Amino acid sequence: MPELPFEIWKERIENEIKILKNLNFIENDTIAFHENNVDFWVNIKSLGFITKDNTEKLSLMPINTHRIFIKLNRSFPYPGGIDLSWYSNIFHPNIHPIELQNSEKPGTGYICINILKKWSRLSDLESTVKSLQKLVENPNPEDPLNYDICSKAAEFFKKNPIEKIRKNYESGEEIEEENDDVVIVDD
Amino acid sequence: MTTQKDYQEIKVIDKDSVDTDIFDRQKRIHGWDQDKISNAKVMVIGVGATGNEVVKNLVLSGVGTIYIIDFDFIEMSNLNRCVLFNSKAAENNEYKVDVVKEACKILNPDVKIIPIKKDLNAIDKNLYRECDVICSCLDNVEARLEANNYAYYYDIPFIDSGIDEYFGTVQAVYSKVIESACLQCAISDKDLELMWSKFSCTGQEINSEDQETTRKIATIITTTSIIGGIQSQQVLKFLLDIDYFRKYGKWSSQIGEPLIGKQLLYNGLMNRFKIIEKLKDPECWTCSYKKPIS
Repeated sequence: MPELPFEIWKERIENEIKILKNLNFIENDTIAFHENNVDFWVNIKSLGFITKDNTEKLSLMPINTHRIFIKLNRSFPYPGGIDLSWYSNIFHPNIHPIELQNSEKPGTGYICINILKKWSRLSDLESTVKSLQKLVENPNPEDPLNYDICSKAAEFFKKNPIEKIRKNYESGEEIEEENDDVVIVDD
Repeated sequence: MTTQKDYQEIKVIDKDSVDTDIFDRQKRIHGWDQDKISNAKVMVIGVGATGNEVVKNLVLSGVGTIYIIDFDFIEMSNLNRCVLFNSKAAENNEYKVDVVKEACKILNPDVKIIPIKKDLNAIDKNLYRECDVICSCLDNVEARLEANNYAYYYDIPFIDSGIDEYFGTVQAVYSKVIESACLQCAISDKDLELMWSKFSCTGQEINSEDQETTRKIATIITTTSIIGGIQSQQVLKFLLDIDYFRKYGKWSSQIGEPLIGKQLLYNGLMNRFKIIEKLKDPECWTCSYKKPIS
Protein backbone atom coordinates (compact mmCIF):
# COMPACT_ATOMS: atom_id res chain seq x y z
CA MET A 1 0.00 0.00 0.00
CA PRO A 2 1.16 3.53 -0.65
CA GLU A 3 1.63 5.93 2.20
CA LEU A 4 1.22 9.65 2.72
CA PRO A 5 4.17 11.69 3.96
CA PHE A 6 4.29 11.59 7.75
CA GLU A 7 3.05 15.15 8.38
CA ILE A 8 0.01 14.72 6.11
CA TRP A 9 -0.75 11.35 7.67
CA LYS A 10 -0.45 12.71 11.20
CA GLU A 11 -2.73 15.68 10.57
CA ARG A 12 -5.35 13.48 8.98
CA ILE A 13 -5.28 10.93 11.80
CA GLU A 14 -5.49 13.60 14.47
CA ASN A 15 -8.58 15.05 12.79
CA GLU A 16 -10.29 11.69 12.50
CA ILE A 17 -9.55 10.72 16.08
CA LYS A 18 -10.93 14.05 17.24
CA ILE A 19 -14.25 13.28 15.51
CA LEU A 20 -14.43 9.84 17.15
CA LYS A 21 -13.60 11.36 20.50
CA ASN A 22 -16.42 13.88 20.17
CA LEU A 23 -18.80 11.03 19.46
CA ASN A 24 -17.62 9.31 22.69
CA PHE A 25 -16.42 6.18 20.95
CA ILE A 26 -12.88 6.22 22.29
CA GLU A 27 -12.03 4.85 25.72
CA ASN A 28 -10.43 7.49 27.91
CA ASP A 29 -6.65 7.79 27.82
CA THR A 30 -6.10 4.86 25.51
CA ILE A 31 -4.76 6.73 22.48
CA ALA A 32 -1.10 5.84 21.99
CA PHE A 33 1.00 7.43 19.28
CA HIS A 34 3.91 5.31 18.10
CA GLU A 35 6.51 5.98 15.44
CA ASN A 36 4.60 4.34 12.64
CA ASN A 37 1.13 3.77 14.00
CA VAL A 38 -1.53 4.96 16.39
CA ASP A 39 -3.67 2.67 18.51
CA PHE A 40 -6.61 3.05 20.86
CA TRP A 41 -9.59 1.21 22.30
CA VAL A 42 -13.11 1.84 21.09
CA ASN A 43 -16.35 1.09 22.92
CA ILE A 44 -19.47 0.73 20.85
CA LYS A 45 -23.00 0.30 22.05
CA SER A 46 -25.38 -1.88 20.11
CA LEU A 47 -27.45 -4.96 20.75
CA GLY A 48 -25.56 -8.19 20.16
CA PHE A 49 -25.76 -11.66 21.62
CA ILE A 50 -23.49 -14.13 23.33
CA THR A 51 -24.11 -17.78 24.03
CA LYS A 52 -25.01 -18.87 27.49
CA ASP A 53 -22.99 -21.64 29.05
CA ASN A 54 -24.00 -24.51 31.28
CA THR A 55 -27.14 -25.33 29.36
CA GLU A 56 -27.41 -28.23 27.00
CA LYS A 57 -29.42 -26.17 24.59
CA LEU A 58 -27.91 -23.28 22.65
CA SER A 59 -29.25 -20.22 24.35
CA LEU A 60 -28.41 -16.56 23.88
CA MET A 61 -28.21 -13.59 26.11
CA PRO A 62 -27.85 -9.95 25.11
CA ILE A 63 -24.69 -7.91 25.30
CA ASN A 64 -24.78 -4.18 24.76
CA THR A 65 -21.23 -2.88 24.91
CA HIS A 66 -18.39 -4.12 22.78
CA ARG A 67 -14.69 -3.44 22.97
CA ILE A 68 -12.53 -3.15 19.88
CA PHE A 69 -8.82 -2.47 19.52
CA ILE A 70 -8.04 -0.21 16.56
CA LYS A 71 -4.61 0.37 15.09
CA LEU A 72 -4.06 2.86 12.31
CA ASN A 73 -0.88 2.15 10.37
CA ARG A 74 1.08 4.22 7.86
CA SER A 75 -1.12 3.04 4.96
CA PHE A 76 -4.07 5.00 6.31
CA PRO A 77 -6.20 6.42 4.61
CA TYR A 78 -5.40 3.95 1.83
CA PRO A 79 -7.10 0.56 2.07
CA GLY A 80 -5.49 -1.64 4.69
CA GLY A 81 -4.70 1.32 6.90
CA ILE A 82 -7.01 0.19 9.69
CA ASP A 83 -6.30 -2.94 11.74
CA LEU A 84 -9.34 -3.98 13.75
CA SER A 85 -9.38 -6.59 16.51
CA TRP A 86 -12.64 -7.43 18.17
CA TYR A 87 -11.88 -8.02 21.84
CA SER A 88 -15.08 -8.64 23.81
CA ASN A 89 -17.01 -11.87 23.43
CA ILE A 90 -19.79 -12.02 20.85
CA PHE A 91 -21.68 -14.77 19.04
CA HIS A 92 -21.54 -13.57 15.47
CA PRO A 93 -20.84 -15.17 12.07
CA ASN A 94 -18.58 -12.34 10.88
CA ILE A 95 -16.64 -11.69 14.08
CA HIS A 96 -14.09 -13.97 15.76
CA PRO A 97 -13.52 -12.25 19.11
CA ILE A 98 -10.29 -12.53 21.07
CA GLU A 99 -12.14 -13.13 24.32
CA LEU A 100 -13.73 -16.40 23.24
CA GLN A 101 -16.10 -18.18 25.54
CA ASN A 102 -15.31 -21.79 26.50
CA SER A 103 -12.13 -21.75 24.56
CA GLU A 104 -8.60 -22.47 25.75
CA LYS A 105 -6.87 -20.21 23.31
CA PRO A 106 -7.98 -16.69 22.38
CA GLY A 107 -9.70 -15.93 19.09
CA THR A 108 -8.09 -14.00 16.24
CA GLY A 109 -10.08 -10.79 16.64
CA TYR A 110 -10.81 -10.80 12.90
CA ILE A 111 -13.84 -8.95 11.58
CA CYS A 112 -15.23 -9.45 8.09
CA ILE A 113 -16.76 -6.15 7.17
CA ASN A 114 -17.80 -4.75 3.84
CA ILE A 115 -16.62 -1.18 4.37
CA LEU A 116 -13.00 -2.37 4.45
CA LYS A 117 -13.49 -4.37 1.27
CA LYS A 118 -15.23 -1.48 -0.49
CA TRP A 119 -12.93 1.21 0.86
CA SER A 120 -13.64 4.46 -0.97
CA ARG A 121 -12.23 7.96 -1.17
CA LEU A 122 -14.86 9.10 1.28
CA SER A 123 -14.43 6.29 3.81
CA ASP A 124 -12.99 7.27 7.13
CA LEU A 125 -12.58 6.18 10.72
CA GLU A 126 -16.01 7.46 11.75
CA SER A 127 -17.86 5.54 9.05
CA THR A 128 -15.84 2.43 9.88
CA VAL A 129 -16.69 2.49 13.57
CA LYS A 130 -20.34 3.24 12.82
CA SER A 131 -20.48 0.31 10.44
CA LEU A 132 -19.09 -1.96 13.17
CA GLN A 133 -22.05 -0.87 15.23
CA LYS A 134 -24.34 -1.85 12.36
CA LEU A 135 -22.54 -5.16 11.87
CA VAL A 136 -23.39 -6.24 15.41
CA GLU A 137 -27.07 -5.65 14.71
CA ASN A 138 -27.01 -7.14 11.21
CA PRO A 139 -24.99 -10.35 11.06
CA ASN A 140 -24.42 -11.73 7.59
CA PRO A 141 -24.77 -15.52 7.89
CA GLU A 142 -24.24 -16.00 4.15
CA ASP A 143 -20.55 -15.10 4.41
CA PRO A 144 -19.19 -16.35 7.74
CA LEU A 145 -15.56 -16.42 8.83
CA ASN A 146 -13.89 -19.79 8.65
CA TYR A 147 -13.94 -20.67 12.35
CA ASP A 148 -16.09 -23.21 14.16
CA ILE A 149 -17.84 -20.68 16.36
CA CYS A 150 -18.55 -18.39 13.39
CA SER A 151 -19.95 -21.20 11.27
CA LYS A 152 -22.09 -22.18 14.22
CA ALA A 153 -23.32 -18.59 14.50
CA ALA A 154 -24.01 -18.50 10.76
CA GLU A 155 -26.08 -21.65 10.97
CA PHE A 156 -27.94 -20.27 13.94
CA PHE A 157 -28.73 -16.89 12.36
CA LYS A 158 -29.81 -18.55 9.12
CA LYS A 159 -32.47 -20.47 11.01
CA ASN A 160 -33.36 -17.60 13.33
CA PRO A 161 -33.30 -14.24 11.62
CA ILE A 162 -31.83 -11.51 13.77
CA GLU A 163 -34.99 -9.39 13.47
CA LYS A 164 -36.97 -12.13 15.15
CA ILE A 165 -34.45 -12.63 17.92
CA ARG A 166 -34.30 -8.92 18.57
CA LYS A 167 -38.09 -8.63 18.63
CA ASN A 168 -38.32 -11.48 21.10
CA TYR A 169 -35.71 -9.89 23.26
CA GLU A 170 -37.41 -6.50 23.19
CA SER A 171 -40.77 -7.93 24.13
CA GLY A 172 -39.06 -9.74 26.99
CA GLU A 173 -40.35 -13.15 26.02
CA GLU A 174 -38.48 -16.37 26.44
CA ILE A 175 -38.97 -18.32 23.30
CA GLU A 176 -37.97 -21.78 22.32
CA GLU A 177 -37.72 -22.38 18.62
CA GLU A 178 -39.53 -25.36 17.18
CA ASN A 179 -36.93 -26.44 14.74
CA ASP A 180 -33.90 -25.71 16.83
CA ASP A 181 -32.87 -25.79 20.44
CA VAL A 182 -33.02 -22.06 20.92
CA VAL A 183 -33.84 -20.23 24.06
CA ILE A 184 -33.40 -16.55 24.58
CA VAL A 185 -32.75 -15.74 28.16
CA ASP A 186 -33.08 -12.21 29.40
CA ASP A 187 -30.69 -11.60 32.25
CA MET B 1 20.81 46.48 -33.08
CA THR B 2 22.15 43.85 -30.74
CA THR B 3 22.02 44.84 -27.11
CA GLN B 4 24.62 43.67 -24.67
CA LYS B 5 22.19 41.23 -23.07
CA ASP B 6 21.30 39.55 -26.34
CA TYR B 7 24.93 39.38 -27.20
CA GLN B 8 25.67 37.37 -24.08
CA GLU B 9 23.05 34.80 -24.95
CA ILE B 10 24.58 34.07 -28.32
CA LYS B 11 26.51 30.86 -27.94
CA VAL B 12 30.13 30.71 -28.80
CA ILE B 13 30.94 27.29 -30.12
CA ASP B 14 34.55 26.35 -30.11
CA LYS B 15 35.51 25.23 -33.61
CA ASP B 16 37.84 22.57 -32.30
CA SER B 17 35.19 20.90 -30.21
CA VAL B 18 32.68 20.37 -33.01
CA ASP B 19 33.64 16.74 -33.36
CA THR B 20 35.31 16.08 -30.02
CA ASP B 21 32.76 17.37 -27.50
CA ILE B 22 30.25 14.63 -26.71
CA PHE B 23 27.49 17.15 -26.10
CA ASP B 24 28.28 19.53 -28.97
CA ARG B 25 25.07 18.88 -30.89
CA GLN B 26 22.71 19.28 -27.96
CA LYS B 27 24.51 22.39 -26.77
CA ARG B 28 23.40 24.01 -30.03
CA ILE B 29 19.80 23.97 -28.78
CA HIS B 30 18.53 27.39 -27.63
CA GLY B 31 18.23 27.58 -23.90
CA TRP B 32 20.39 24.50 -23.35
CA ASP B 33 22.78 24.62 -20.43
CA GLN B 34 24.90 21.50 -20.18
CA ASP B 35 26.10 22.45 -16.68
CA LYS B 36 22.54 22.25 -15.36
CA ILE B 37 22.26 18.75 -16.81
CA SER B 38 25.66 17.63 -15.52
CA ASN B 39 24.95 18.83 -12.00
CA ALA B 40 21.46 17.32 -11.84
CA LYS B 41 20.33 14.40 -9.72
CA VAL B 42 17.45 12.36 -11.09
CA MET B 43 15.66 9.45 -9.47
CA VAL B 44 14.29 6.72 -11.72
CA ILE B 45 11.95 4.37 -9.89
CA GLY B 46 11.68 1.04 -11.67
CA VAL B 47 14.14 0.04 -14.37
CA GLY B 48 11.92 -2.23 -16.39
CA ALA B 49 11.05 -1.55 -19.99
CA THR B 50 10.35 2.20 -19.75
CA GLY B 51 12.98 2.64 -17.04
CA ASN B 52 15.66 1.29 -19.37
CA GLU B 53 14.73 3.82 -22.04
CA VAL B 54 14.63 6.70 -19.60
CA VAL B 55 17.97 5.82 -17.99
CA LYS B 56 19.57 5.34 -21.41
CA ASN B 57 18.36 8.75 -22.57
CA LEU B 58 19.43 10.52 -19.39
CA VAL B 59 22.85 8.86 -19.37
CA LEU B 60 23.55 9.80 -22.96
CA SER B 61 22.36 13.38 -22.33
CA GLY B 62 24.93 13.61 -19.56
CA VAL B 63 22.75 13.85 -16.43
CA GLY B 64 25.21 13.94 -13.50
CA THR B 65 23.74 11.51 -10.98
CA ILE B 66 20.98 8.96 -11.45
CA TYR B 67 19.47 7.00 -8.58
CA ILE B 68 17.89 3.82 -9.84
CA ILE B 69 15.49 1.96 -7.58
CA ASP B 70 14.36 -1.59 -8.30
CA PHE B 71 14.42 -4.74 -6.19
CA ASP B 72 13.69 -7.09 -9.06
CA PHE B 73 15.87 -9.56 -10.96
CA ILE B 74 16.25 -9.90 -14.73
CA GLU B 75 14.22 -12.61 -16.43
CA MET B 76 14.60 -13.93 -19.96
CA SER B 77 11.20 -12.45 -20.79
CA ASN B 78 12.55 -8.91 -20.14
CA LEU B 79 15.04 -9.06 -22.99
CA ASN B 80 12.68 -8.15 -25.84
CA ARG B 81 12.34 -4.58 -24.64
CA CYS B 82 15.21 -3.63 -22.34
CA VAL B 83 18.16 -2.08 -24.12
CA LEU B 84 20.51 -2.21 -21.12
CA PHE B 85 19.93 -5.86 -20.17
CA ASN B 86 21.72 -8.85 -21.62
CA SER B 87 21.06 -12.56 -21.89
CA LYS B 88 23.97 -13.55 -19.64
CA ALA B 89 22.55 -11.45 -16.80
CA ALA B 90 19.15 -13.01 -17.41
CA GLU B 91 20.59 -16.51 -17.15
CA ASN B 92 22.22 -15.62 -13.84
CA ASN B 93 19.09 -13.83 -12.59
CA GLU B 94 21.07 -10.74 -11.68
CA TYR B 95 19.64 -7.60 -10.09
CA LYS B 96 18.23 -5.20 -12.69
CA VAL B 97 19.92 -2.18 -11.12
CA ASP B 98 23.38 -3.80 -11.13
CA VAL B 99 23.16 -4.70 -14.80
CA VAL B 100 21.86 -1.24 -15.73
CA LYS B 101 24.75 0.34 -13.85
CA GLU B 102 27.33 -1.72 -15.74
CA ALA B 103 25.69 -0.98 -19.08
CA CYS B 104 25.64 2.77 -18.34
CA LYS B 105 29.37 2.76 -17.62
CA ILE B 106 29.93 1.86 -21.24
CA LEU B 107 27.47 4.44 -22.56
CA ASN B 108 28.87 7.33 -20.53
CA PRO B 109 31.52 6.73 -17.86
CA ASP B 110 31.08 10.24 -16.40
CA VAL B 111 27.57 9.61 -15.16
CA LYS B 112 27.24 8.46 -11.56
CA ILE B 113 24.68 5.69 -11.22
CA ILE B 114 23.55 4.85 -7.70
CA PRO B 115 21.67 1.53 -7.58
CA ILE B 116 19.20 0.91 -4.76
CA LYS B 117 17.92 -2.65 -4.39
CA LYS B 118 14.89 -1.89 -2.27
CA ASP B 119 11.16 -1.74 -2.42
CA LEU B 120 10.09 1.88 -2.83
CA ASN B 121 8.46 2.09 0.61
CA ALA B 122 11.69 0.90 2.24
CA ILE B 123 13.92 3.69 0.93
CA ASP B 124 15.10 6.61 3.02
CA LYS B 125 12.53 9.37 2.46
CA ASN B 126 15.28 12.01 2.47
CA LEU B 127 16.43 10.63 -0.85
CA TYR B 128 13.40 12.26 -2.50
CA ARG B 129 14.55 15.68 -1.33
CA GLU B 130 18.03 15.23 -2.75
CA CYS B 131 16.73 14.79 -6.28
CA ASP B 132 15.95 17.49 -8.83
CA VAL B 133 13.42 15.38 -10.71
CA ILE B 134 11.74 12.07 -9.89
CA CYS B 135 10.61 9.64 -12.59
CA SER B 136 8.39 6.65 -12.10
CA CYS B 137 8.48 3.83 -14.62
CA LEU B 138 6.34 1.44 -12.64
CA ASP B 139 3.78 -1.27 -13.20
CA ASN B 140 1.53 -0.71 -10.20
CA VAL B 141 -0.62 2.09 -8.80
CA GLU B 142 0.54 1.67 -5.19
CA ALA B 143 4.18 2.60 -5.78
CA ARG B 144 3.20 5.37 -8.22
CA LEU B 145 1.03 7.01 -5.61
CA GLU B 146 3.71 6.75 -2.96
CA ALA B 147 6.25 8.43 -5.25
CA ASN B 148 3.64 11.05 -6.19
CA ASN B 149 2.85 11.76 -2.54
CA TYR B 150 6.44 12.27 -1.45
CA ALA B 151 7.47 14.20 -4.58
CA TYR B 152 4.49 16.52 -4.13
CA TYR B 153 5.17 17.02 -0.43
CA TYR B 154 8.84 17.83 -0.99
CA ASP B 155 8.07 20.09 -4.01
CA ILE B 156 10.08 17.94 -6.43
CA PRO B 157 8.89 17.65 -10.07
CA PHE B 158 7.56 14.16 -10.68
CA ILE B 159 6.94 12.47 -14.02
CA ASP B 160 4.88 9.34 -14.27
CA SER B 161 4.45 7.04 -17.22
CA GLY B 162 2.40 4.00 -18.07
CA ILE B 163 2.32 1.61 -20.99
CA ASP B 164 -0.02 -1.06 -22.25
CA GLU B 165 0.42 -2.67 -25.68
CA TYR B 166 0.19 0.16 -28.22
CA PHE B 167 -0.96 2.71 -25.67
CA GLY B 168 0.91 4.87 -23.26
CA THR B 169 0.57 7.87 -20.97
CA VAL B 170 2.88 10.47 -19.49
CA GLN B 171 1.91 12.90 -16.76
CA ALA B 172 3.95 15.38 -14.77
CA VAL B 173 3.17 16.62 -11.27
CA TYR B 174 4.71 19.70 -9.71
CA SER B 175 3.42 21.20 -6.49
CA LYS B 176 4.68 24.71 -7.28
CA VAL B 177 2.09 24.97 -10.03
CA ILE B 178 -0.64 25.23 -7.44
CA GLU B 179 -3.69 24.81 -9.64
CA SER B 180 -2.38 21.57 -11.23
CA ALA B 181 -3.59 18.11 -10.30
CA CYS B 182 -1.50 15.31 -8.80
CA LEU B 183 -1.89 11.58 -9.40
CA GLN B 184 -3.88 11.07 -6.21
CA CYS B 185 -6.53 13.55 -7.46
CA ALA B 186 -7.67 11.08 -10.11
CA ILE B 187 -7.72 7.95 -7.95
CA SER B 188 -11.15 6.36 -8.10
CA ASP B 189 -12.90 3.97 -5.75
CA LYS B 190 -12.28 1.29 -8.35
CA ASP B 191 -8.51 1.83 -8.05
CA LEU B 192 -8.74 1.55 -4.27
CA GLU B 193 -10.76 -1.62 -4.64
CA LEU B 194 -8.10 -3.11 -6.91
CA MET B 195 -5.39 -2.27 -4.39
CA TRP B 196 -7.44 -3.89 -1.67
CA SER B 197 -8.12 -7.02 -3.72
CA LYS B 198 -4.73 -8.33 -2.62
CA PHE B 199 -6.10 -8.57 0.89
CA SER B 200 -8.80 -10.74 2.42
CA CYS B 201 -11.87 -9.17 3.99
CA THR B 202 -10.31 -9.24 7.46
CA GLY B 203 -7.22 -7.38 6.25
CA GLN B 204 -4.71 -10.21 5.89
CA GLU B 205 -2.56 -10.23 2.77
CA ILE B 206 -3.36 -12.93 0.23
CA ASN B 207 -0.23 -14.49 -1.22
CA SER B 208 -1.33 -15.73 -4.56
CA GLU B 209 1.06 -16.63 -7.35
CA ASP B 210 -1.75 -16.63 -9.87
CA GLN B 211 -2.26 -12.97 -9.18
CA GLU B 212 1.38 -12.26 -10.05
CA THR B 213 1.06 -13.83 -13.49
CA THR B 214 -2.32 -12.36 -14.32
CA ARG B 215 -1.07 -8.88 -13.49
CA LYS B 216 1.55 -8.96 -16.26
CA ILE B 217 0.60 -6.77 -19.18
CA ALA B 218 1.45 -6.91 -22.86
CA THR B 219 4.28 -4.59 -23.89
CA ILE B 220 6.50 -3.96 -26.88
CA ILE B 221 9.65 -1.89 -27.09
CA THR B 222 8.31 0.50 -29.73
CA THR B 223 5.71 1.82 -27.30
CA THR B 224 8.09 1.89 -24.35
CA SER B 225 10.71 3.82 -26.31
CA ILE B 226 8.14 6.40 -27.41
CA ILE B 227 6.82 6.84 -23.89
CA GLY B 228 10.29 6.62 -22.32
CA GLY B 229 11.48 9.21 -24.82
CA ILE B 230 8.72 11.65 -23.94
CA GLN B 231 9.23 11.04 -20.25
CA SER B 232 12.98 11.69 -20.36
CA GLN B 233 12.37 14.81 -22.42
CA GLN B 234 10.10 16.06 -19.64
CA VAL B 235 12.97 15.46 -17.22
CA LEU B 236 15.34 17.55 -19.34
CA LYS B 237 12.76 20.32 -19.65
CA PHE B 238 12.42 20.52 -15.90
CA LEU B 239 16.18 20.47 -15.37
CA LEU B 240 16.83 23.20 -17.93
CA ASP B 241 13.96 25.50 -17.11
CA ILE B 242 13.10 25.16 -13.45
CA ASP B 243 15.36 28.08 -12.46
CA TYR B 244 13.55 30.30 -14.97
CA PHE B 245 10.18 29.17 -13.60
CA ARG B 246 11.22 29.84 -10.00
CA LYS B 247 12.36 33.31 -10.98
CA TYR B 248 9.55 34.42 -13.30
CA GLY B 249 6.67 32.05 -12.46
CA LYS B 250 6.41 30.87 -16.07
CA TRP B 251 8.27 28.59 -18.41
CA SER B 252 10.68 30.01 -20.99
CA SER B 253 9.74 29.91 -24.64
CA GLN B 254 13.00 28.25 -25.58
CA ILE B 255 12.38 25.11 -23.52
CA GLY B 256 8.60 25.18 -23.32
CA GLU B 257 6.19 24.14 -20.62
CA PRO B 258 6.29 20.60 -19.21
CA LEU B 259 3.09 18.52 -19.03
CA ILE B 260 2.25 19.61 -15.48
CA GLY B 261 -1.26 18.58 -14.41
CA LYS B 262 -1.82 17.30 -17.94
CA GLN B 263 -1.72 13.81 -19.26
CA LEU B 264 -0.36 12.92 -22.66
CA LEU B 265 -2.10 9.91 -24.15
CA TYR B 266 -0.46 7.99 -26.95
CA ASN B 267 -2.52 5.72 -29.16
CA GLY B 268 -0.28 3.64 -31.40
CA LEU B 269 -3.17 2.05 -33.26
CA MET B 270 -4.53 5.43 -34.37
CA ASN B 271 -1.06 7.04 -34.59
CA ARG B 272 -2.36 9.76 -32.35
CA PHE B 273 -1.28 11.83 -29.40
CA LYS B 274 -3.78 13.58 -27.20
CA ILE B 275 -3.28 15.82 -24.20
CA ILE B 276 -5.94 16.09 -21.56
CA GLU B 277 -6.03 18.38 -18.56
CA LYS B 278 -6.42 16.54 -15.25
CA LEU B 279 -8.93 17.90 -12.77
CA LYS B 280 -7.61 18.91 -9.37
CA ASP B 281 -9.55 17.44 -6.49
CA PRO B 282 -9.95 20.13 -3.81
CA GLU B 283 -10.19 17.39 -1.18
CA CYS B 284 -7.32 15.30 -2.51
CA TRP B 285 -5.56 13.32 0.24
CA THR B 286 -2.17 14.50 -0.98
CA CYS B 287 -2.34 17.90 -2.57
CA SER B 288 -5.04 19.50 -0.41
CA TYR B 289 -2.63 19.42 2.55
CA LYS B 290 -1.42 22.87 3.57
CA LYS B 291 2.00 22.98 5.09
CA PRO B 292 2.13 25.01 8.30
CA ILE B 293 3.92 28.29 7.70
CA SER B 294 7.10 28.24 9.69
